[in-house]
Amino acid sequence: MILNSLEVANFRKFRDPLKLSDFSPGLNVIVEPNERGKSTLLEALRAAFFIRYSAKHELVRSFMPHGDDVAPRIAVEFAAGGKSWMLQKQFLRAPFVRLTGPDGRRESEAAEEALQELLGFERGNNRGTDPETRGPLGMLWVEQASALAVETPNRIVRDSVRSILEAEVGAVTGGKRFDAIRNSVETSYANLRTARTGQSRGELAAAEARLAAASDARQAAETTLRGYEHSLTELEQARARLRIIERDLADPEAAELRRKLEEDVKAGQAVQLRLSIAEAEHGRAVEIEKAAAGRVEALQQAESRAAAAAEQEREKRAAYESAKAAADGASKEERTLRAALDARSADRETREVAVAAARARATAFARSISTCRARDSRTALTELEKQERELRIEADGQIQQGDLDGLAAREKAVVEARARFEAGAVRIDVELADGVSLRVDGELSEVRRFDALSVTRFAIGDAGSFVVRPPAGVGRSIEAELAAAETQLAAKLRELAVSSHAQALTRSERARAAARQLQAVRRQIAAACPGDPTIGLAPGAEALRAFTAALADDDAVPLMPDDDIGALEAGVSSARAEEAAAMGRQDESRGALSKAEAKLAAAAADHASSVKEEQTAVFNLRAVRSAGEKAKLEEVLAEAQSSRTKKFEALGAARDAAKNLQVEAIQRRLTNLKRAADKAAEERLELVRQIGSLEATVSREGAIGPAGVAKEAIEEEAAARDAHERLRREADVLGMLRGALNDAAAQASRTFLAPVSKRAARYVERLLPGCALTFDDELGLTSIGRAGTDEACGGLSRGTQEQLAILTRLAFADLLLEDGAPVSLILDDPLVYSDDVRLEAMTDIVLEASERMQVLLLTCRSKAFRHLDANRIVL
Amino acid sequence: MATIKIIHTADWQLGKPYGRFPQEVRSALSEARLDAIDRIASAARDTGAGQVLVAGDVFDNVEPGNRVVVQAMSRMGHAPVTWWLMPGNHDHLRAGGLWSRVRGLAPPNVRVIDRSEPMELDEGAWLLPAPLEHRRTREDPTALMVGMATPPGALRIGLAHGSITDFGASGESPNQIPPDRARTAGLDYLALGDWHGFLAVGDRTAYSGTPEIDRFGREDAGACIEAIVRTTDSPVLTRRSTGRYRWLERRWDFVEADDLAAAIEALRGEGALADVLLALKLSGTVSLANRVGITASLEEQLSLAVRHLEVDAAGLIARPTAEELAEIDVQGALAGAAAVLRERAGAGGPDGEMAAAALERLYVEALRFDRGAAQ
Repeated sequence: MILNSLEVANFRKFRDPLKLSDFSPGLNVIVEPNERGKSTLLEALRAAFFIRYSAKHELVRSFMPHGDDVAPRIAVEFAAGGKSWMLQKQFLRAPFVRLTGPDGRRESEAAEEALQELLGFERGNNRGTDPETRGPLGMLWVEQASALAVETPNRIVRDSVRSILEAEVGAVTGGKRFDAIRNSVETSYANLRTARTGQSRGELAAAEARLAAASDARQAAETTLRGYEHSLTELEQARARLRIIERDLADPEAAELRRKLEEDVKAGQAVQLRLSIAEAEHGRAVEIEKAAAGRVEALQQAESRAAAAAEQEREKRAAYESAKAAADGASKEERTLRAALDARSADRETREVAVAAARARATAFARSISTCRARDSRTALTELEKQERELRIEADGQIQQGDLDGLAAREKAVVEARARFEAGAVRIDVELADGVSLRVDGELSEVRRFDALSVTRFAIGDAGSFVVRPPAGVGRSIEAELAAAETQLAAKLRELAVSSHAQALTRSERARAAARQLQAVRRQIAAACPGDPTIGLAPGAEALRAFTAALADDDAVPLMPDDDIGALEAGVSSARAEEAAAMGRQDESRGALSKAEAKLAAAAADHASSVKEEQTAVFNLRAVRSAGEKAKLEEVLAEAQSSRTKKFEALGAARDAAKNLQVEAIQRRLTNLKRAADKAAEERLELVRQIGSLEATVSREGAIGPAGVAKEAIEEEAAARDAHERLRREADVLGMLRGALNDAAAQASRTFLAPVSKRAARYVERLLPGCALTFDDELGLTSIGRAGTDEACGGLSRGTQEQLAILTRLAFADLLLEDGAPVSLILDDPLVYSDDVRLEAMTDIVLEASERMQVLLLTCRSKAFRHLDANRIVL
Repeated sequence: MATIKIIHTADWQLGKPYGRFPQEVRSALSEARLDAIDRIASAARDTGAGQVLVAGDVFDNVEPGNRVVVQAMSRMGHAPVTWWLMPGNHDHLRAGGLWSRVRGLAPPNVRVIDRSEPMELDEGAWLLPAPLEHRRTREDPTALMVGMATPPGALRIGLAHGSITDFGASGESPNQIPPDRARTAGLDYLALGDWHGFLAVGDRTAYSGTPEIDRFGREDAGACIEAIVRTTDSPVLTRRSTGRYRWLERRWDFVEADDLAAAIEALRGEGALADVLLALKLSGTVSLANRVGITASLEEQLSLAVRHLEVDAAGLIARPTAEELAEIDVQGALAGAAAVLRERAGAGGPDGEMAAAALERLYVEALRFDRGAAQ
């Protein structure tokens, strides 16, 4: 493919139309400083060929010059397939595409399709950014930065290259069959290990997990078994210890030792007993000695006490006797005085009797006089009472002033009513013959006088009748008033029991006088009954009446006695004085006697006491002496003292013996032995308990079968290991097979790509002598071999990478060119990282290539490419 | 002349886990060991023996779970014989251990022998046991038998567990029993356990072997001994089969794939394959296709027919033919990979084995693909 001209307008910085038309079919170099639009030209070319005219995406909109709203337009004249073509494309505003060729003009979709057909690319994505679809030109029109990396060629290039190579080489890797077999192996491998890292997965991972689990289980089972064995061992040991302890507990030597010690304890206890006996005997001897000494002393005391008591008794007896004489004297005097008092008393009594008799007589007389007086008063009283009764009846006739006045008024009313009646009524007096009856208004009447106040018919027998008609205006009321007044008067008179008002006045007057008299009579009656204490008569009429009613009828008046009561009473008084004097004397002597007698009693008591003491002392002395005479007692005392000394010595000996047999120490030993035995018994119990516990553990755990479980776990682990080993081996085998297949594939690839490598090698050889290139299945350059070692592309310097990128592109371009594909190479600002030597080598290669294809080199470095013999184009 | 008929058995090893076998094989083998008790009981009933002496290793280990113990006791309880159980090295006596439990769970017709003292087996027949108190002991467990007194004229039957001194070349094996113990202890019969196969040592000493084989290396089925013990004459020993499973080890050498069919046919002739556990070692050098065919046949056919199949095919060398390699691919990457693997396999060593396996796999994958493509 040869570009002949390029015209852009309204395209980015090229607002004004720009046309480049002097391209040569070989090497063209456009040297311009930065920012002049070199890259824009490449962009315009790409847009013209690869971006659909109707596209309106971001990239397309960016074609418009900044700030303008115009239609970017591109026109390209080129030769391809030995024919000339004209491509015109306008974007965004009134977009169109027009492809004019030898067989005419195409527009729109037809133009785009024809273009794709002609240049070997495909319709790309909507964004116009898919390099896979751009075919050889897409690969060979290298943008500024993208040339730096060694890239896999796009799909269309790859497919083209493949088809070319297959024809050329005539041998293939194995094609579908190889792929299927390798896939199968890969799948099998991937079931066991990841393809990338070789990590276990699937069945192999499961087998590993099983093995790990089995190992864990085995370890756990072994631990359990060890634990169980440990329990068994412990059980065995515990039983052994138990046997030892039980033997110890039943040890005859220990029993013998204990028996001996117990005997020693008994012996020691006997010695202790003897000691305490010696102590007791010594104590008793001391007591006996004390008793003997006591007896000697008691004898001495008894003797002196007896002597003292005898002396005392003598003194007390003398005192008693003198007191007795004094008491006797006082007694005698008292008796004399008492006789005198008795005489005086008798005299006084005699006199008092006489006086009493005289007084009695005088009293009797006075009573008789009073009785007579009472009888007289009674008589007078009877009379007065009679008067009183009469007067009282009279006084009862008294009428109250109100009643009197009422009566008077009623009388007056009757008089007045009668006067009115008489003035109005017709008085009829009837006189009848015998046997003739009178009927008044039809009724038989015995009355013969009538005051008719109304029409009244009188019938006299059968003789006929007449009617009386009183004058008009006289009513029955007059008659009624009269009758009422009379009735009221009569009632009052009845009430007062009088016949008239005059009579009532009289009676009332009399009654008042009687009442006054009655009061006088009553005062008289009170005076007539004064009462008399002499005879027990109370004042008042009732008392008098009662008193007199009891009296006998004795009207005799007694004689008055002639006694001299005053004289008699004077005699009594003097007799009493004498008696009192005698009584005083007798009292005094009696007091003296009492004192003397008290003194006597005290003296007698003292004496009796001293007698008793004397007797006691004598008895005591006798008693003391009965125990032995003094000499004998002293002898006994001496004996006791000697006995005590002996006992004291015996006590010392016993103490020494006790000191030699220390019961406590022996008992301590015994206690220790016993404690040891107890301890052993305790330990035995603990062991028995432990054994019980262990037996339970062993029985429980044994039932599970720890050894069986452990053995099973071990075998399971072995089985798991075998299974794992089988799978691992299978994975290894598959891995080896996979490796072999891949190696073979790579080898085949190398063979297969030999033409590419060969072509590239031609160039590379000039740049990197001795280097071999390796391409992968995707035709990507993977590594270069230098000095026997492969070096991955990524590890190479940027300059080398860029150079290799250009060279491999060239190699592919050569291959495609040979196949007749339209090819042209555009490099935008290339080889910036190349050193001078490499740059020169590269420019030489590019120059050579330009002999086979058109090359367009865009650069800002005029100096770097100055040496090139090329068509230079200026914008 | 006093005689007694007894059943002598040993090495029941009840509760053996068989952990390396798949679960269903495990269950079957465990069950078979318990079933052996019933078969021993049948043997006793059939022969009229009233006493069954178990010469140690009744249980597989010193502490199996109660589940095993209870199941064993239950089966023994149902049999109208007296079982004399003696601890061996696997289930040796320990204070408070397994045998205390056994004693607690045992029915009346089971006697636990936990003392080295004479026991009256039956009228006029005395048992002189040597129960083991340790897994290993340097002492001869039967030494005490010499001093064990029995009534005059009584039969003396020893019961012990251990190796006869002649067994090991080194003489270092534990629990050693002198071969002339029956004579030195005046035994009419010495019933031994430990050796899992039948073995008579002299005319008065014998190992009964296990009633149910439990490992490869013993072709015969398990059995017990019916022993008629007599005072003067040596005892009459008759083997009574009790085992169910056969544990067979075979080494099949291949030249051609056809050899397989013949070998399987031969195996079929040895008994019911369903009761066979087979450990197979393959050897020979065959083509890749044959090797694949042989291993596939074993896996797809024989392993289903037998109770359990273990194949060690490491000795069966595959030598790929040119055709086989061409079947993988004549050129291209597959052919390249095959060539590389073949070369590495030829170098031998662990890597060579792996390479051979990888090549075989590649061959299988290629066949599979072609088969798929053909379909």
